[in-house]
Amino acid sequence: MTKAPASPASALAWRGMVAWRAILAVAANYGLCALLAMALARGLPHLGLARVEAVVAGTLAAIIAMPVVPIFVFASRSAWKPTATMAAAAGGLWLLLWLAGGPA
Amino acid sequence: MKGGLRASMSWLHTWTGLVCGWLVFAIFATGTASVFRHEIEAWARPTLSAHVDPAAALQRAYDHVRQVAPDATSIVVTAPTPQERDMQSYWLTPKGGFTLAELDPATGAEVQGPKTAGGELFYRFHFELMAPFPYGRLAACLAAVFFVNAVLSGVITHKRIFSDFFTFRPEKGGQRAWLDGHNVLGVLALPFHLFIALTGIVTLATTFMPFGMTAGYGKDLPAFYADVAPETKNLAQPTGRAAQMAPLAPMIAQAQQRLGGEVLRLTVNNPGDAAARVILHRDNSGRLSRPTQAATFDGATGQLLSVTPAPGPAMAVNDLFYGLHMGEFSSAALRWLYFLGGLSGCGLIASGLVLWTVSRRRKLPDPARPDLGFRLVEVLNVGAVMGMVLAIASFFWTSRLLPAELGADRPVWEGRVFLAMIAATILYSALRSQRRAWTETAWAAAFLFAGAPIVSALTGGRSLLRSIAEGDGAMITLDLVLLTLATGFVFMARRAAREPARAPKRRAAPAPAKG
Repeated sequence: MTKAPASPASALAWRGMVAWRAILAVAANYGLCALLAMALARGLPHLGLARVEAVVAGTLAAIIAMPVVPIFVFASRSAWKPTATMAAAAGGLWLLLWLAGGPA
Repeated sequence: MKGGLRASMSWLHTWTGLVCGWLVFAIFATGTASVFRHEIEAWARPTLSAHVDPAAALQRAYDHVRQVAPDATSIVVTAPTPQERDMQSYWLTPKGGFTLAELDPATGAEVQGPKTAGGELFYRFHFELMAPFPYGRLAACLAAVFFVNAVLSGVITHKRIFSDFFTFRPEKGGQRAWLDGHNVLGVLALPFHLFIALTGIVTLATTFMPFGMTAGYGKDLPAFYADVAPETKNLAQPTGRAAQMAPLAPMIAQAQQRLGGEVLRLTVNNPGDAAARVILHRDNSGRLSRPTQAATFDGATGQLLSVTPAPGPAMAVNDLFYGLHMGEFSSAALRWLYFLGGLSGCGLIASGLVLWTVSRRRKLPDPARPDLGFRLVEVLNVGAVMGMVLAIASFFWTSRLLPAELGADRPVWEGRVFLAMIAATILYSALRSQRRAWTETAWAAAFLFAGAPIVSALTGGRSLLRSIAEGDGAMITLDLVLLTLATGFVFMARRAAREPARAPKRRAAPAPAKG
């Protein structure tokens, strides 16, 4: 998958697919990592961590996850798979955050 | 994507690399220079001398600030070290007054001579890009995320990572040589590139990813910062009764003993008051981690009040990442490795950018007349890479040549020339052919780097002879590094001037697969 297809219609579809994955890899990725940081910052104190420790752990986890997510976004054959996976992960993290009492 | 994992990762590597390449090169180049920012700082201020007793210097600086700002409510001074010959200082006055000053350890007063940005020019550009807060920092972090992603996808693309480590075939010319060079530079310092970019984001974590902080603390961010630096908690309020301050030297000696290292920074709250507090932070030599660790004293009696407790595990990891990025934990030998690692990163990024054009040129319908997008990449490759090199070199001239009459604006003008060099190089490379642009800008870089020690000697600044006479190893080394860089760019200019080694057409024998 290194070259745009020759016919104009499939070239357009290919560009749309690349654009969609770019949105997933940059904007959705940032949002997902922000949710991860928030969920850990609020959730970890329930496991006995100090508040500042939970915040730092969540922030570090988000920073480490961010450059890795685009690998999965671009590795899969269909663009729907990363879309669905990221939506599910966001939903799960949202639920965790909500269970932990929401943002302070 | 279609075509298997390696193909899709190769595609991802190519395009994230191109998108972030120019910016990341700028960040890597200034970061590499910042490894020796204290030495550059000292070079830019020739009146400062090395080797001053830090405790006596801090006392002189404190007395000086008390004299010029008797109403200061808080005074902060960094201690001089064998590397850092000036003392960065600031103090707060009532009604939100804030004064920054650069103090001379020998006198305690402000550093004499024309104002200069010194090593701070490269250091601030490295993570702020001379853009308004917070946009420069956000852009730097985003570039670092792209770069880490480019490194990871590059590793997946690269199946023969071990054997290619020993492969460099410059005689093959063209794309193969560029790819070999790119691979060697990438693999050679791979762990360094990965951790330096990732830990760089950590140093700006609260700007780039503040949502953990805001989720945990809501609007009460001062509580977060107090938890991060416990020595700033429960600060004493001024009593209004004046009191003589105890001498600093015994407190500094006690702090060094309790904290197990040299004192990095002096903070005095409520100076001259009965409730004066002296907070002494430890430096970061001899330990990987970079926690905020301080001893607090009663300023009037000189009694030790408290020592910062050890950080929790998550904070300790954060401090470790921070410390790894700053590289303050070791002596000169390891900082040289940071410098070389940074240079290899610059070479990795520059060769990757060139490779983008080399591998596409022969596929163009007419290689002599490339399309606009291709030409834009060519122009920006020379402009961003050599522009940054020339901008860095220009500082060593402006720092000596700008008129002292500019006063406080002089560092601003150093920055303007720095940016103007990048802009001018981009414009210039748009007007020249690719090969001429590389060749001529490399000659210009050689000229600027070779001329810097000469200009410095002629304008009454440091000269190599004076440094040798004084046995000032750091300044001798700095001049030699400038001359070595000049030699390197002479080599590059001669190499770039040559015709391509092979005709760009692919020969009958199949070339090795990309990767």
